[in-house]
Amino acid sequence: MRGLAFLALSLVFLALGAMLISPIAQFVYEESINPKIFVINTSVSTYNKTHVKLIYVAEYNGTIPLEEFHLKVAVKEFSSELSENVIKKGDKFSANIFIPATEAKDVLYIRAEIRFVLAGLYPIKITVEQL
Amino acid sequence: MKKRTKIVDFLFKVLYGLSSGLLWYLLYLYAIPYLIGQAGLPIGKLEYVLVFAVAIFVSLEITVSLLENIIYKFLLNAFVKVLALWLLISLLNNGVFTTTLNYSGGVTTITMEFTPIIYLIAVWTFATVLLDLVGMITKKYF
Repeated sequence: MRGLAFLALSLVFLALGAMLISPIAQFVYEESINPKIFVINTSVSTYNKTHVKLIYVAEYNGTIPLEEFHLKVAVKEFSSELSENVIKKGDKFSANIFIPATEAKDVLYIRAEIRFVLAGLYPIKITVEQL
Repeated sequence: MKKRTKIVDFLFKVLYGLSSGLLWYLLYLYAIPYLIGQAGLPIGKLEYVLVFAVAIFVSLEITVSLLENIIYKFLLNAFVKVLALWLLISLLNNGVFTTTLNYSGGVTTITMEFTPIIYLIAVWTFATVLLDLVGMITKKYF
């Protein structure tokens, strides 16, 4: 009788575990077949006579929603941030940094920090440092 | 004849404890990490705990099997499960995974927390301990 109860309990937890782990499995699988599941494209344009605009366009192509999304991009001492409650497949958003044209000549160091909670369960933080 | 029965009974208990210890060991330190690894999550290296863990699990489970006192049996069994859980959590680096990728001209650091899975395994472990407790009470008093 106890063996049966143990088996039933284990099966319930196994089912719960499968449900809990499925967002990660799905995310990893999508990432493995399409490495461009999350991309950040950078472009530069002239803003005015004294400043240039650095544009960072982030695009998400995965099926698992990303909650509490936060993106911070920093170039030298200039930075830009954006936050979204939830981002879903096909969502596109951008962060702009305005820097003096004189500083733009030697933009070498770029730091980007991305934070989100995968499916509302798993916090993930990605830091990219371009040296 | 009676002596032979006692020896057979003893050997049966030792074998039961041995298989039970191996089962817990395989479940917590192989099957669960393997399933988690299959889902794409990273798992730690097992080698350093291998011999130590097998010896501990098997000897404790043989002791549980040979014990006559039902309360000591329950307590030691619960200890084995909590120990297995602790080893599993250590193996999974407390549910936090960090990796650094170096490439020409840049560094990427990824940190991921998968603590909900750890909590679920912990709840399951304590639920089985609770089941053992209920089993012990019903066996002792009913």
